[in-house]
Amino acid sequence: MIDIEKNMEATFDKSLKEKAELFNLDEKENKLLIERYSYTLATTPYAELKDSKEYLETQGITITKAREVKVLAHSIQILKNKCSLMGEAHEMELYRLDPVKLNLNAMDLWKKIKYCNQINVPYKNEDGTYKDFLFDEKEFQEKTGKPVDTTVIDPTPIVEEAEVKEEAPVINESTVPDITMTINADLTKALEDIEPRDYIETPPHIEMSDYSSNNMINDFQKIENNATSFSTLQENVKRQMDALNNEDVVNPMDMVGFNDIEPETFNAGFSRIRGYNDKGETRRDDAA
Amino acid sequence: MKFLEKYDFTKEDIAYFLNNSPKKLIDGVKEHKKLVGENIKYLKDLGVTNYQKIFLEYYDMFLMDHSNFVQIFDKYEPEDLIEKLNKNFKIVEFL
Repeated sequence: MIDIEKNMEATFDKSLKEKAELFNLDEKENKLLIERYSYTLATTPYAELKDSKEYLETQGITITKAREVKVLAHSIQILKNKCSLMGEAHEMELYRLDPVKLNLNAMDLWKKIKYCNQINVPYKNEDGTYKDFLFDEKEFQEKTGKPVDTTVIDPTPIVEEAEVKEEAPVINESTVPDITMTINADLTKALEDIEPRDYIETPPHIEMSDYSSNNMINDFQKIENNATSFSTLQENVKRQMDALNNEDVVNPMDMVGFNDIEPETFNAGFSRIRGYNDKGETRRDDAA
Repeated sequence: MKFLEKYDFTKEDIAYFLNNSPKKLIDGVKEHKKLVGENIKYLKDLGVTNYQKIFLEYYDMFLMDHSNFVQIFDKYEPEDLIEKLNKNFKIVEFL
C-alpha cells in the first residue's frame, strides 16, 4: 500500500520557513537561518533534514544555532559514519558540545586525538571542552610538532575553463575513494565520506559468430520494415539468436513470415528475447 | 576550487575547505563561484585581513545574495568593524 502522506511529502517539498521550523530555534537564530544560512535548507528535502536531525538527537546532538544546520547537508549515512567513529573513540562529546564539528573530517580528528594521547599532550580543557589547536592544522603542528597526514578528496571533479587543474587527486563517480585505514580493527567499519553506491547489473552479453554485426543490423532493419505476426517473429528471432550462439549462422532474411508488424512491437519483442523486460530492465530470472 | 586562489587562498586553505565541508556545500560554492567571489572580494576590499578564515568557517553565508551579504557589514562603522573582525573573526556570528 502506498503511504499517501509520505508520497506527497517526497513529491512536494516544504518551504524554507516550514523547514526552519523543524529546529525550534529562537527568533533571532531562526531569522539568521533563513537570511544567511538557508542554502542547506533550500537544497535538502524536508524528509532528509528531519531524518538526519532525529538521528543526531538519538546521539545526544542537538542543533540550537542557525550556523549548525549546515551539518545536515551531509547525507545521513555520512553522519552515521562520523558518529560511529567518534563513538568508538569515546569522543562523542566533541559533537555534542559543538555540532558544527560534524563538518570536520572525522578520520583526521580521530588521528589527532590518538596522536595527542600517544605523546601525552592534553587536548581537552579542565571543563571537558576541546582545545582549539585540535581544529587548526597550523596550531596542531606547532603544539605537537607533527602535521596531520590528510587525504584531500575533491568529490565533484569540475573542469574549470582555461585553468590547469592542479588540485588534489580527483575521484570520479565511477570509482570508490581509496582511503588508507591506519586505525585498529575495531574501527575498520567506519568509512569516512563514502556514500553507498548501487551495483548496476550489466546487460546480458550474447557472443556473436562470424556473422558480422553490420550485416546483422542491416538484415534486422529489413525485418523491422517487413514484419509478421509477433509470435512467429519471436520464434524466428530466438531461433536465429540460438543459431548465432551455436555458431551456426543463418541469414535472418531466409526466415519466413516477416510482415505486418509494427516496429515498436518488433523492438519490444526483440528486447524480451534478449533478456530485457518492457522497462528495459534485465530479466534473467524470467528467462531462466 | 581554483578560483579561490585569485583571492589569495593558499592551496592548504583550499584543501582544508574540501576536506572539512559537506559535498553539497562544496558543490554549491563551485556552482555559484561568481557570487561567492563577489562576497569574498567585498570583505577583502573592505580591509578585513582574515576574510579567508571567515570564509572557511562560514562558507554557506557566502552563498547569500550579494546585496544582502553587504547589508550584514555596512551598517557598522568600517574601522571599528575591521578592527573587531581582525581581532576575532567569530564575531561575524553576532553581526
